[in-house]
Amino acid sequence: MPRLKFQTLTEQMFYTLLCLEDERCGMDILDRVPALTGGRVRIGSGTLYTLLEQFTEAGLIRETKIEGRRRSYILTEAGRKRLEEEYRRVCAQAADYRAVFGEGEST
Amino acid sequence: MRDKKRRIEAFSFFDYTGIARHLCKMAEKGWLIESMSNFGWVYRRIEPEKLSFWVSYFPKASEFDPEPTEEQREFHDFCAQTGWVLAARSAQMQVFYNEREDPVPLETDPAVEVQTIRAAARRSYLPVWSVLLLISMADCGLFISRLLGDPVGLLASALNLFTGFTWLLLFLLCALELGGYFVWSRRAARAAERGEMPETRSFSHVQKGAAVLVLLGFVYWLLSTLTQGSALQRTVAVTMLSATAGLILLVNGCKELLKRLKTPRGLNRTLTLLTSFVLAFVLMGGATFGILRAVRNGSFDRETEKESGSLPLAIEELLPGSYEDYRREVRREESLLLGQITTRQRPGPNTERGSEGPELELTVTEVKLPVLYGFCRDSLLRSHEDQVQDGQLVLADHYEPWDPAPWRAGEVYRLYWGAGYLDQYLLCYEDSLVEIRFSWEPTAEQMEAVAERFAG
Repeated sequence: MPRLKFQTLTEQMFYTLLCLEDERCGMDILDRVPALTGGRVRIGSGTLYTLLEQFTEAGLIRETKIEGRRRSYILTEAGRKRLEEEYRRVCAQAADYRAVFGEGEST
Repeated sequence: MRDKKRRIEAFSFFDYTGIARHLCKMAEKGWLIESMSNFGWVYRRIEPEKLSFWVSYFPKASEFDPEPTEEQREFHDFCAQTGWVLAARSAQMQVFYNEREDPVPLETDPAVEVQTIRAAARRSYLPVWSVLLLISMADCGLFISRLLGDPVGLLASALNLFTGFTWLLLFLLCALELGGYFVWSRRAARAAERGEMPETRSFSHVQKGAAVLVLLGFVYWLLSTLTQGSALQRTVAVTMLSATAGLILLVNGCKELLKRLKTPRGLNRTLTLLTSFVLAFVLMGGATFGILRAVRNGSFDRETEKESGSLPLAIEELLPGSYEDYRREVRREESLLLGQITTRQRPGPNTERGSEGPELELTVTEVKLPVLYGFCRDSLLRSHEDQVQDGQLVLADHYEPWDPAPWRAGEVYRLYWGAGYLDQYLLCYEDSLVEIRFSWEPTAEQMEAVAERFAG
């Protein structure tokens, strides 16, 4: 059965949306994600380009301005809601983990 | 020392890992990819170095784009931000290289990467290969139906063998290419769910091997036509080859010129398609018309006359008198498997003897591959079959075994047609099959003369 688009977000999707809490252009996101995650997550240029296009089409982000070839985007209400749902899902996962292994194991 | 070199490369559209690996090796040898087209990939000389390569796909790009679109440039800017420099592009395929030691991969989400490649494939790769598959399948079907209907005529023709072989190879290649794509696509989608991106399976060696085989077949056909074909066959071959080469060059030239003139993609596509239709009609139609006109005007008659000197058996050798005013038709076909010559001598419009004069028809099939002998004999025997309707014989038309002694042949068959025997025989000699039709009943001396010529 095909999975609904963006029903669950991959790490790349999650951080792309997260970075767009503030208005940013694509190239800023490429720098922002490693900074935000201490280098743990890096987004490929091709992946980011496609994700921005798909998120725009899905109404999760919107274009705010175009300066030359630099497009800036910001999260929409739908995007914020989707990000929040993903956050709750991840939190639920973390809670389940803690329930099994206890608080001390989570660090 | 050359600063550039062109190579014919054979990679599947979706073989991103195979292409990247190949380009890495080329860079280590001091050659960096610069452009990719149907006429080969061009490399420029660089200091040998270890570079990382990535083959990416931009679904919205087209081979008719005069230059990268704004969106494409924006994508290239994104890539430059992480050190990926565009080296070459061909329609949707974009090749990047990176000088950094451990660069961020250009694609970091396998699911997104698979979606992108699938979207790019749907736009041009899949439709083109599917059409090729259908065309090659239809041509293979035609080849097989001809093989069943007239196997000897088909196997004796270098052109038919070459084209049949080429269509068969093309069909197998298309099936391999499309099958390979769908297998990869399923594997990649499954792997992407696990967060992996699988290596592609490269068919490069198969594709190169097929190209070499087609090239060898083409050279063999061309050489055999130019050295052994009749003047008409040579003219047809050279004219059609020139027309085809002209068509390819002009259509491609038109597309490239329009790109240089910055013609929009849609207009370029329309004009190039229109040009290809018009030029195909003009060049191929013109060539066909010219050849037919030359044949009608008798431009090839002299050649036919000259060739008649080397008839395997002429009517003059069997009957007294002169037959110089007779029409002589000669058709030769030669392939690696069989050689076939068909001759016919019959009264012409101004023949002294009038239309009632004797006629002789002869088809000599030389079997070069002994294993084909029985197959050829049987198919010649099968070329005459009784007509039966509702279990009732409507018209008798078959060969019957006949006395081989007077002909000094291994086997002889005589044609039974209607209600009696015709003076048409199939003579089976050691490595040749002779189908001979007399318009008179041959005498023992004439049979001996035939035997003298073919029994060796």
